[in-house]
Amino acid sequence: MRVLVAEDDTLIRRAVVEVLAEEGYQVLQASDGQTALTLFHEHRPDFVCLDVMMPEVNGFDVCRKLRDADAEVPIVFISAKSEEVDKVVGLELGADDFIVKPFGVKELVARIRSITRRCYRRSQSENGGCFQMLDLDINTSELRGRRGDQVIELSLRDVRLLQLLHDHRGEVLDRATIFDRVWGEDYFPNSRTLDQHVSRLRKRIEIDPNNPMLIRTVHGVGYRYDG
Amino acid sequence: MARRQVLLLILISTVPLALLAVLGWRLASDEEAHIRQRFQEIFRQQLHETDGVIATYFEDRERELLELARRVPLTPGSIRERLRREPRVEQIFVLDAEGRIKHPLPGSSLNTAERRFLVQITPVINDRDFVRLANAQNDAPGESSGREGEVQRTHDWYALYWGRGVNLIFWHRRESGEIVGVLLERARWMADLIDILPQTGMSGELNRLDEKARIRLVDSDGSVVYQWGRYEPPEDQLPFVDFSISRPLSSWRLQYLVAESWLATAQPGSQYFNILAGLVAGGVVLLLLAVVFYREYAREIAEATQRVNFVNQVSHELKTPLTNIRMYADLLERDLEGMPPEETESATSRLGVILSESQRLSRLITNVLTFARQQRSGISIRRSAAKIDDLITACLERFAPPLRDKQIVVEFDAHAPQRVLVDVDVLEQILVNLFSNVEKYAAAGKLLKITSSQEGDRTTIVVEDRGPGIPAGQRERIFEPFHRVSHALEDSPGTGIGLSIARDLARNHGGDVVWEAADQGARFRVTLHTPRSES
Repeated sequence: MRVLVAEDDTLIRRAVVEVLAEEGYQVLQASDGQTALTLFHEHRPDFVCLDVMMPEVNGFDVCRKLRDADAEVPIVFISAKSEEVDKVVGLELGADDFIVKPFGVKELVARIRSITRRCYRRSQSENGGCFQMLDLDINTSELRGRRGDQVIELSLRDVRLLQLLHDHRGEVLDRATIFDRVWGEDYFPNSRTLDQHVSRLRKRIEIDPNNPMLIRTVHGVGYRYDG
Repeated sequence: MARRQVLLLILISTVPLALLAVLGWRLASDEEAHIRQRFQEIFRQQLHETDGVIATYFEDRERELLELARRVPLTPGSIRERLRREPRVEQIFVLDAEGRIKHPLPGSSLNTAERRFLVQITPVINDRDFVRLANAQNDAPGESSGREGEVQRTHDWYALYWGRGVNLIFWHRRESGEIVGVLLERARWMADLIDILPQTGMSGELNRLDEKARIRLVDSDGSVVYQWGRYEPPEDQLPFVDFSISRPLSSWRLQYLVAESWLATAQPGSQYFNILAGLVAGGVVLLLLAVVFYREYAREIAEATQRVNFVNQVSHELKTPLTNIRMYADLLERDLEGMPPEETESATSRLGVILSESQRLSRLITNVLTFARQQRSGISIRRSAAKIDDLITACLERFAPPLRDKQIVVEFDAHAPQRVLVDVDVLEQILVNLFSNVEKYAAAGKLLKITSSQEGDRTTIVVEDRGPGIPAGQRERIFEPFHRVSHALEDSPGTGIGLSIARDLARNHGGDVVWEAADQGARFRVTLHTPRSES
């Protein structure tokens, strides 16, 4: 899933890009409105995050032009001014959501996942993308797992990783394959990235993270789901 | 300029003016009446003086005629002889003590004038006044008249009407009881009167009014006998002062006519002009004052707005660096999660401080901006479907680090599981303000208890602690902006707008935030209008 991030503050842009990449999105970034429009027309991302105050063409104008080109693509505003965004999002520009500064990673992730669910609902059938791993039901379009009454929020990457393991039940998947399928071909991870990701995911989905049943480690090779 | 301010400005300048105008008008009306009355008194006095001149003339005549009536021998020859020497006397008659005519005696040899006179005075002789005089003589000679209480007179004037009008008869009753009546020569006394009365163009006190006034001597028929003064009144003009002159011409009148235009310009008109000028001047002064006050007010408003805008601007400018602090602290926390705990313990703890302080700063900025926004344009509510219990849980999760640091135990009794329409941000801000108060002021109680419930379209959330509570007398004032509870010591953190904002937000959301009595600590009840979500 491709996301376009347009934000003129380098630090915020870098952090948002990092969080989105971590979540499993392919991220395009622009530091001004004009670049954002060019990138959109070249790559047709699945959704767009727009800062309001940007040089050249501001976020509202970019939004207007994007709507002319694509009436459906979800657009999320990032702004310091909740009032003005509040006004234009609903009334004028038909943006889907907005994230008001100051925000933390958790708020950003929650909003992004909410938008991703909306994207899925648009592109997939309602029941499509459900699978089960032991007692954990995973709904790919909702980015959620359920165990009894417990609901577990998942990232796009989590879902992709679990889907890969589920689809290759009983098989050992080596790191290179997992990176290739889950992170993408052009991603060059360092050796700890996958282990850290799996470690964090286990804390959320395993009943006992120290004795994992869903994602088992195959030392020296990779990971495996036994079903 | 706001419509209300314009209205106020107009009211400030017009109300006192209107009051002044009404008062001034009434004052002017009273003054006008008063001045007319004063003029009437002055003119009446002048007529009185004129009357005095006439009266003096008749008093002189009275003395002369009394002498004549006393002295003249009562024989026709003597009488006729005397008439020839008295140019002011036209005829003389004599009645005996019984009131019978003695001269001119009917049947005797009378000249034409005496015969005509006899006919003319017949009504006089038959007049009961004369009869009474005659009787009085018989009843009590020299003492009293026939009518009780009336001073008996031995001489007086008598007015008799014939010919061209009034004729004056002076009568005297001699001690013998005989009555001598003397008819004054009408043409002569009228000529005398005209001679002694002022003339048009006269000098003296009346002169200044000569141009605008006319004084008339009017007889009993209303015919003008004599008049002076240059003013030519219209025929239907009523006299400004109407004065009855004294005896013997008591049926005659002196009338004072004044040009109304002169009366109008002399006093009341100028009075009205003065009032109008005063009102205009007052109006201008008031308007200037109002404008000065308004400009001062507008300047203060502009300065206040500038200050608010400055705070707004600064708050907005703080948001971007604050976002970076929070984001990078979050990312760093993630990085640390993947490392062995024993290596990261100290760093994680310090990072926790950065995170919780940056969150506190975020709350502060959000509160300041919400307050400014509410003052400026009010708060709009954007409802979306959510479960209240989930929102409370999320909010508690975000608040967990500072609560944990202060060893405050959280108890959440969740009974609001339904999916309802609620403004997520508004609810979060209300809860954050209440939780923040517990963390700041009631940490000693070591407890934060939240109870949620739902009934119909309403959601209720009770937030309570075991802290020092709110002193009686401050339980409503705590909802006022910038009010700080006194026991919350000077060095306690906070801006004093949290509860005010929480209440305003709740009220905008169709509910309220109220203080509730509790055995210990403070308890606040939040109610919100939360319709069921169809989705």
